[in-house]
Amino acid sequence: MKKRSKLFILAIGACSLLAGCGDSGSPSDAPKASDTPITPSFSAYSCQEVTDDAVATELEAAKANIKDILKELDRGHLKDAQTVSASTKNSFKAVLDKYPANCEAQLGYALSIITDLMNNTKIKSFIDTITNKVDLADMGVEDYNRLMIAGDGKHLTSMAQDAMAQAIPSVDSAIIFMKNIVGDDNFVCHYTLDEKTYELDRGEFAPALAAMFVAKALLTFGASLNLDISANGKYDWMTDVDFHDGDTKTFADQLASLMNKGSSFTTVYDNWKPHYKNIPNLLDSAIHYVQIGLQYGIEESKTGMATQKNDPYIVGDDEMSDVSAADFQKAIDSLEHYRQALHTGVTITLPAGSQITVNLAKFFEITDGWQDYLPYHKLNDFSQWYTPVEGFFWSTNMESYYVEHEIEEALRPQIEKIPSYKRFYGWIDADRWNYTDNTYSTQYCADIKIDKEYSYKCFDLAVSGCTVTFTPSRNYGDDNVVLTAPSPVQLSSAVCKVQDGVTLFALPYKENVKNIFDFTDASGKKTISLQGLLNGKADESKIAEARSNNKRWIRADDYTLDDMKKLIYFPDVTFGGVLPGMTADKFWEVLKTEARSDDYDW
Amino acid sequence: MKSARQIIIALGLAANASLAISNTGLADCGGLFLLHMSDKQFSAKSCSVRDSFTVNNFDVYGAFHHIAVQSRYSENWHMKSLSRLNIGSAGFTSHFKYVSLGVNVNTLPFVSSTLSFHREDSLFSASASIARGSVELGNIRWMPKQENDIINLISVDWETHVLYRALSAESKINNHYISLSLTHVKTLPRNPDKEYYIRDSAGVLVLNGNYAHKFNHSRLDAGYTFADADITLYGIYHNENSRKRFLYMPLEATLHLLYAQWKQELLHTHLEYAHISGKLHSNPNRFFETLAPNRALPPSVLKGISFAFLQKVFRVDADLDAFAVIGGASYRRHFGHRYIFTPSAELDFFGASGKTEIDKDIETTILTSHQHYDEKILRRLKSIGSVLSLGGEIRKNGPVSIALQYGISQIIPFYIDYRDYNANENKDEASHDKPSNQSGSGNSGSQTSSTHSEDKKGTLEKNVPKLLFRNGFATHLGVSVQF
Repeated sequence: MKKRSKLFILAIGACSLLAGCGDSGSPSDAPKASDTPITPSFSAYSCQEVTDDAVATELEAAKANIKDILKELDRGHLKDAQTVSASTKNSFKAVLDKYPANCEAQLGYALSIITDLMNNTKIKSFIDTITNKVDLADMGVEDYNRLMIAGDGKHLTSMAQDAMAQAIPSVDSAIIFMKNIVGDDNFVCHYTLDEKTYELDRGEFAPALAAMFVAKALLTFGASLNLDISANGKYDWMTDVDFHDGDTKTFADQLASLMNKGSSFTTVYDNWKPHYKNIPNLLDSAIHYVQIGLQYGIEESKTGMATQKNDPYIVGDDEMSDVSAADFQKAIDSLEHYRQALHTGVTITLPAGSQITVNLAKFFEITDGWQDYLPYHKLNDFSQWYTPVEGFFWSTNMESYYVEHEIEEALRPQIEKIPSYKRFYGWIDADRWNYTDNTYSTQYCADIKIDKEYSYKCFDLAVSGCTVTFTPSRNYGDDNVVLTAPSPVQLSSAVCKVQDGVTLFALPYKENVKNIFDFTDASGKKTISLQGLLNGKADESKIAEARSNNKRWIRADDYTLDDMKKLIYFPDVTFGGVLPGMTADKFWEVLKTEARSDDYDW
Repeated sequence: MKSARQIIIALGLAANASLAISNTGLADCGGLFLLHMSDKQFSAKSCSVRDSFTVNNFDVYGAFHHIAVQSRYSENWHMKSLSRLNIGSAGFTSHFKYVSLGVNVNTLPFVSSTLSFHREDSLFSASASIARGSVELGNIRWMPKQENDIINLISVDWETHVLYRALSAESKINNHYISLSLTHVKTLPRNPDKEYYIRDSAGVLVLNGNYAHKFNHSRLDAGYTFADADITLYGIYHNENSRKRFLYMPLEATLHLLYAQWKQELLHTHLEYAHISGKLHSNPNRFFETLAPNRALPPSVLKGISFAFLQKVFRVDADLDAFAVIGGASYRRHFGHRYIFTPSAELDFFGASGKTEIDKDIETTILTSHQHYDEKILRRLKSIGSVLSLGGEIRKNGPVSIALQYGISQIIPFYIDYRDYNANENKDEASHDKPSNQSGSGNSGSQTSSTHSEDKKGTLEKNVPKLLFRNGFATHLGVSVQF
């Protein structure tokens, strides 16, 4: 039974892994799987007793094994769990051959099908590959082509999706057995733990079955979507991102490619479309079985403690019970309401009280990628990323993100020549106290990673007009780095200007934001840049105050949701019908209502 | 929190038991600011106005008290308690040759009566008191640190129903005074019509013996007090016809207090020793868990499925053992005749040591998987320090006598050693991982695993200037009129 939560975790874990990876090609189709057990169909729900002593002994041994498997899994001993799992599944199968309707064997077989997933060739191979890749990353390998692509050229994302696809038929088999078990409301099992006896009945089996449906939905979701984030089958751009903190043209180009409406990223593979569109039905079944479990609890409560004494939870009204039948009935009613959201639109009340209509079925009809629903925007060329266009002011303070970047780029060719150079990061420190000659000076310092160590180097700065000259600082710097003073750097007019004989630098109001994209209206006319939006609004008085005090930041006001309503436009604010009837006005109103934090007298 | 309640009970009972002083009006305000730290806070304020007069054999009085006690505590969650009481009370005491009878009624509501017998020569007296009523002990609010948790806020009200009984006897032979008293307080559990509430069932016994000797210009008092409390708290979530117990705390506490004081007109000295021990027992039985948060959830889908997918219960064993010694002297002088100014200074020294051992067993059930997480926490506090009190009184005597008093006190610690660390022993995991003995039909696939947390160590905040006046500080202002 524990395996359901394991499976749940496995499925979620696999999906979260995918979020950071990519793949090419679609995974295998769901229905075919050579490792999948053959599942009988049940015409009537029933449980059959085992009368043969030898079979009973085999059953007991297999039951003990299930516990061993879960214990090994909990301890992280995958290999041991795999070995026991294979034989356990066969033992249950042997019992089922003789007593096909024995519920214990069915339950055990359903469990062992899930635990035996570890022995599935593709899943096993995926687990082994992931283990190896984690080891590689731990050893300091930073080449994403090595980390994301297996030895046989398969991408990790593709392997993960194959593994998920392989798991689905096994989950299907387990679901069929569990359906039979849930169907017989007389079937209970007991176990003793820490001297306490527990009884499992439909109240637990039905939610467990619901968890299996959720697991299948998650696996289907993970296997259906094209999550290939490679550029022509390579991950060089990720290596670049890691090295340069996302400051490369390859990253900019890849981002533009993924966000492009014609991109296949987040589209659903053609052969998976029917399964993907069926996800609402899987979730519907999950809700249905949760309701069955809750209803069983309500029925049990009518007989008091008679059948509940050893249940994991007791339904009743008095203090010697966990939850009231009324609370369960409310949960059933609410679930029924939410269940409709899987097929048609239903009204849902959000935490702060606003009401929206949701139709989740429409979400699973979006199979051509989610890019179409992003707000109107225009990505800028990488050459524009460090240009201050909005949300900045001119000041004599030189500690500007944009100035630092131009100096960094000027220094880069020289620093990259250092043997074993990995990366570097530089910053301007105005008014640094110089201990040697007891003066203040403006310095530029760089942290340079050489092999695995960081070294530190500083230069004094002199500014004439927009030309910056460097002289070695006497105070700071590691001797192991030989770095001659760079040639003077001419700052661009975008970040530096001379006004009335005074050199002024472009400083962001409050956030170091790259000029990655602009929001536009439907006609493609720019409304605001991301840079401007995140830096907020500052009036002339605030700018003058910051300038006169030579401050590095301005206390700019954030753009309000009312402002954003006039700056950010969605092509389809119903998001493909997921929020039927939604309008732009209502959308921003809902955000405003929900953004209000609860004020407690604290 | 407990202290807050004790103070309220003490003040409430004092208000009930207060006796009239002839033709006297009194207004009095005080504040105690014991702790003000980022994760722990405690403060109490009170104000009272009282007026009394005597007619023949009757002392009649009326009074109004306002008491506010608040505390906060943060760990992985925030807890805030607030008690605010406005008590109007009225009563009388009638004096007869051998008997006195006192009755007090207040708005808590609370009713008390005292019957005293005394010899005409005051050689021996005895009294019996009985009181009954209810006290709104306040409101406790619990909030998770992370917003948008399943539970945003639980606001629990606590009202206690008290039956108070006391017997006392006093004898005066020449300059020797001997007194004995026995007090028993019992609380009666009740289920109010509230969504979240605390129900208590308590028995508190207090014994006191005091000996005093009156010298020519001074008096010596010495005594011993023993108190034993047995309190069980139940936290209940009430919705329609259903009541669910989400908290169960059986507490035991014992106090031993030895004291001696010597008072001269201008110089007072005192010495006290106190030892307190307390225990919170964990109970292995179902529905007797220290905390079972699932049961406190408001009705929702999440509550419905939480019992199958994520049940958590906490069983806590806690031991408290602490002692303190405090001794010191105060000195006052009078200046002036018509207006008498009496400045006073008191310096006390204390040494205190205490430790709390907490053993938390957190049991998580997900479907049929059980996990135990044991956490042992040991907190020790050792402190040596002083308490400096400065005060003053201006009094105008005459047909109408008026007095104005003001005083402040500050705890000045010399040494504080506070340690807060886990003290887990490396238990054999197997001891928690008993094999499931299958019985009946079926297969569980369930198991238990046990984990232990790492040791950690903590200290109190050490920025002393910031701690002053907000921590260990008390102030008091009083006005009295007598005619």
